[in-house]
Amino acid sequence: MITRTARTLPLPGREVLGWGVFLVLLAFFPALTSVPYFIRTGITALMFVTLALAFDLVLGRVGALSLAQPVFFGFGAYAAALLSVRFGTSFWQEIGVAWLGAAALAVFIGIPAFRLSLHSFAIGTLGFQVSAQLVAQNWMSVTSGPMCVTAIPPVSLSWPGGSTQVISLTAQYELILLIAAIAIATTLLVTRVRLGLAFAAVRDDPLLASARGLWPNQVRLTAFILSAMLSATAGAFVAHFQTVICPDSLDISYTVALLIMVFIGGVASLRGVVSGALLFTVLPQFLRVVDQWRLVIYGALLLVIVITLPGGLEEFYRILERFVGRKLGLGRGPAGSLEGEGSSAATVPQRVVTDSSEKREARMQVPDRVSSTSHNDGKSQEHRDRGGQGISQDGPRGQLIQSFDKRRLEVRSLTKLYQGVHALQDLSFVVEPGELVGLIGPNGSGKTTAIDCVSGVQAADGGAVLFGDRSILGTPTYNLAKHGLARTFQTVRVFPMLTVEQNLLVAGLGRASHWDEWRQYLRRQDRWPVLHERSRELIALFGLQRVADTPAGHLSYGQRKLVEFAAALVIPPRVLLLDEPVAAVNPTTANVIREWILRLHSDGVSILLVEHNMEFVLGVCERLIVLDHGLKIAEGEPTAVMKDPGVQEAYFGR
Amino acid sequence: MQVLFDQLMNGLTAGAEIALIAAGLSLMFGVLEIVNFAHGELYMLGAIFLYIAESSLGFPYRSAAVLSVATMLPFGALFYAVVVHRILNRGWQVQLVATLAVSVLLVNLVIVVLGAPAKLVPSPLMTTYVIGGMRISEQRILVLITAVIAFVLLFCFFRFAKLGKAMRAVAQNREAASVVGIQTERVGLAAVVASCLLAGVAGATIAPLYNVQPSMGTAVIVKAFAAVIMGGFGNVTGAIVSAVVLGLVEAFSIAYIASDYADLVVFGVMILVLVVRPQGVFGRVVRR
Repeated sequence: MITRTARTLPLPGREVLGWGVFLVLLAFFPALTSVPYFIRTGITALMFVTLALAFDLVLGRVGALSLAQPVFFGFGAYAAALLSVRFGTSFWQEIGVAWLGAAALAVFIGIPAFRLSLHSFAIGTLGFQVSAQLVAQNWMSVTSGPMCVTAIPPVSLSWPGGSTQVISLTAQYELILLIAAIAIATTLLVTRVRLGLAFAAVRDDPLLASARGLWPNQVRLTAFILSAMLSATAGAFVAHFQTVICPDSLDISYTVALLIMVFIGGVASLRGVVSGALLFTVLPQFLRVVDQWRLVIYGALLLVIVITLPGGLEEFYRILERFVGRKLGLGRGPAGSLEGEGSSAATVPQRVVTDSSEKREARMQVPDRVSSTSHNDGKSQEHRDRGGQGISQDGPRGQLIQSFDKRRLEVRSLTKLYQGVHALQDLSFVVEPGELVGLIGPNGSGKTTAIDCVSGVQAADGGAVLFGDRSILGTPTYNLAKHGLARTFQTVRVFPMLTVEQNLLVAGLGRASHWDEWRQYLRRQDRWPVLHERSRELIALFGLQRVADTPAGHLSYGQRKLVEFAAALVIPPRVLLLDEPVAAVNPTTANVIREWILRLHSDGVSILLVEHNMEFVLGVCERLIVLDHGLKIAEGEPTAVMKDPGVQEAYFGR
Repeated sequence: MQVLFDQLMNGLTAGAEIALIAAGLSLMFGVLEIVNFAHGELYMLGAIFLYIAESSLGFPYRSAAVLSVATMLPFGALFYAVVVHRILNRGWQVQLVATLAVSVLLVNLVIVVLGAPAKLVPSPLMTTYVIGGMRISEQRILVLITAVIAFVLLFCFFRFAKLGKAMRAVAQNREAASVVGIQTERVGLAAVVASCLLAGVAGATIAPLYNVQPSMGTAVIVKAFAAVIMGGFGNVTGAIVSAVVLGLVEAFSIAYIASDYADLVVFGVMILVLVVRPQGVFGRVVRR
């Protein structure tokens, strides 16, 4: 449903410039008409633009449907209304209170609500919306309940040398235009900074995001807070504009209107949502005749749109662009589009390997040493590594496998039950530092469950997992990833909407320490020197140059397998858990992966390899652990283990 | 003592109302993995059908009630064919927004056709019995008995009917069920119709106790969701038990805390439960 595919370099200047021109043109709108009704409609439209963008920040960018938006809007409105009526505050003070309050409310609502699965999130936030409306209705002493807060004075903007009252309709229009511009700028910014990459990753695949080191709920909460603050800003303005605020400002009908706008426009599309909001407020003005039927029509319209045209106007814009692009001929090409259809935009000269494409056809390149880019500043890195975090702000600068403190991974009596069935029974094993261990067994013997429990994806029912001397059972997946415990998934997982390169960049962002991750949220995606270099290098080594800027969801299975594998290596891991890396992969690709596994092994990465392909396992592993029905039935040197009668029986029967 | 007993009865009635709706919601989620935001409106329609049958068509209450429940059967099939069928294989956002749109559509259609004000639905069951010194109205007894019968029938259906077993199979694993030859489409249709009937039963029995109005579904749906979440998504028994608990919580907080904030207490309980156990009290973790 989310059709936008973010590019690494979405022709940055042009889109921003386009929006600048659009906003300036809108600023002249009141000069064109003297009819107050039109200007009022314009003000309402811009209010909805702000609210719809705030809504889409959560729905479209992090993929959570929040029905609590009216809470924040209503909070901003009531805060501004009460403050100005009782204390005669200036607009800045009201905005300050609205922001702080909305952010606090977002945390209060978001922390319990994001614990829910995503459908339940919608319902949980709905509960908060209903509760907030109840409070507004019944807390007579503050909100005056159904009597409403009335006689709200106009906006008062205070300056160092005095204050201005925003009274005229034109002035109010310009003020809400400014607020809408902030919302547009926020959205533009989010698509360009690294935070936006984290948003998209969490939206596309929360589980993979946490395996890459991102904490999904923290990322979602960030979007939720931003969205709440934007909604509250619009609310603060609306209180002054309407001069009356009633409990129905918190009604669910606002959410329904926002849903219609966002879906008419196209989820996660800036231009779509803006045009959806404008269309939805301007068009009904012509439907006045059938006022009674309006909500019926909205409901029907929303139903039809969401079922038949889930891409909304964005879909239409793209068709138009392609059409115009063709009409204008070869000269401009697809570069005329805001989204940048041309992949050439991202081919960057610093690409490390430029001549490998022909060689690759013959034989995939033997991987470079993982650490080869970074011998220079290894010393300083070694120093930092003692803190447990070897990742500098800009990515893998100076990552040296050799500098890792050698830690063994030890699993003790790990037990996992599925409704009484033992998926893992008292499983114990050790992966020594730098060892390459194979975990094999028939289907359903608990291999994936073991990896899931070690990597924190599933909670174990008993036992312990030690990483060095630290117990890591119960540590969330994202924290393990940050500590260098990376994993891949049996069913290949990539972020489908992100390009191959972005898939790798996300891993670089997630594997940074919490503090470093936070610090770089507001940095640009397209200026990320070390990590860009590193990911291009990996892309070249895996022979993925041609698809570097293609959304990973469009790739073939084998290519996605490579992308997933490469992403796990962007920051070299300490321990790598590989769940069937070559399942259903063609021999050439399998060969590339084998070379990489051996190279990582020789670089000292500890590897636990789950695989069904015996030839592959016997070819690379130093030691094998065999599982059957959740029990360890054999362990030891590969050829010896394979001769074990118990193992033979487990595989081939008696 | 009478107050306590009254609140107990109020709570059980409210609980039965929520439970009938929550059971349907949970059933639809279990079988189709669809969260139906229009489910409160199905309940509202059950009550509206009753109102139309009584006041416009002149049926007496009993036959009107049966008629209104029966009307939910073709309506459920229609709902499946027009909406549910089309969103089955779509993302959860599309499903959620589509059913929300149906809810908006139905509420406002009823407002346009019949007007927004609340309507009284007469019922002959107005006698109040005195049992052991406690008064209880006949209609409440009807609500409780019908709800119990409906749930017993539902569980017999799950347990003994072929279609009911198929429904449980689909709820456990859709793909595996379809591999062994269960027609998942038909099972889905049956689940939608069954949840519509449950909502219809709620509408037809409870309407005489409260007034019938277009917004009645929206008021109850959030509580029903709370029950479904607390019960663990897709767990029908869990939803029913949680619904009764929520009904009692609501009734007693109306009596002993503050009537205005009763709903707040209900959501508070839900949120508290979720913070402690996000998968619900009876929850199995929802499969991916």
